[in-house]
Amino acid sequence: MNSHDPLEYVERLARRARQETAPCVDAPLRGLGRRVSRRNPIARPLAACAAFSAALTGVTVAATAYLLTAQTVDPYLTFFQVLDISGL
Amino acid sequence: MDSAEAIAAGGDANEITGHPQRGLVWAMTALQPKDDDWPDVRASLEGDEGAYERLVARHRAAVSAQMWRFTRDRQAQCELVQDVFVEAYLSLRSFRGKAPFLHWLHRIATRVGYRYWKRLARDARDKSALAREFPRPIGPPEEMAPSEAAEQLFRLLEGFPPKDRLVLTLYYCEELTAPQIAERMGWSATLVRVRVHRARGRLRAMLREAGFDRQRRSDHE
Repeated sequence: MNSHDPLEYVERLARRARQETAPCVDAPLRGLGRRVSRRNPIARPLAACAAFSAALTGVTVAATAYLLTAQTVDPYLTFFQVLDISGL
Repeated sequence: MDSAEAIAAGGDANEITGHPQRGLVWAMTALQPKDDDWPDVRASLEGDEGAYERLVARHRAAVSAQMWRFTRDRQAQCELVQDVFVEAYLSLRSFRGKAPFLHWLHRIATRVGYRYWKRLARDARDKSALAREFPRPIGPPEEMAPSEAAEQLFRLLEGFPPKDRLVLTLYYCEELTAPQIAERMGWSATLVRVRVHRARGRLRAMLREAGFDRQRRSDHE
């Protein structure tokens, strides 16, 4: 090696640096459950079910509201009559 | 060749041992990884939370030391160590036990650290700031405290692009060879050799410009 090669300085620096005692992280492992649930294979189907259920509820409420406000339907229809009209 | 080796080499366990049931047991024993961490890895995969805690406790110091080479900030180091163990937990099923668990963990840690540097480099580019000043020589390394030398080395490599910085860090700080760096990063050994060569050339030029070659001479005077 060339005696004036500055990389020799880096090698000496690295040799000295390797003697350093690095600080040890002793904090307990946290957030594992939260991060795991993001990749949980059950989480996504559950979220899809919830979204579908919410959408179905929305449609049902909207349909009922429409039927109740429409002039052709008696606002005092029974639940079974509403179901019968909406074809459910 | 004993029975275990013969089975591992692809032989029929039943023929080798001459007993169907014993053959199966032999095959299972022969193919079982010989790693002290393997029982805890298995237990962890079967849902034993304590097993993974034991693995973390056993390798925390090694991973902390490794991540300390990617940052000199304690809080960032803590985050990186957390990320390594979370990522290892999530990929635990892919651990085959062909190499020791700690080697596998080191590979994950290197990738976590590399991603961290890439993120830092991207942020620095976005802010178009950080015109880092290349460090000046501060004396012979042998007279420095180890932490001072580590800090100086960290600053010397800090301004390099993440890929160059990574190969230089692994080459100088962990004393890894090109094939070992390649194995750790999933790159080809040739690519690593070329990258190390080029990065060292650039480092040499920067050191000359900053007067580190004169420092070398003055150490001997």
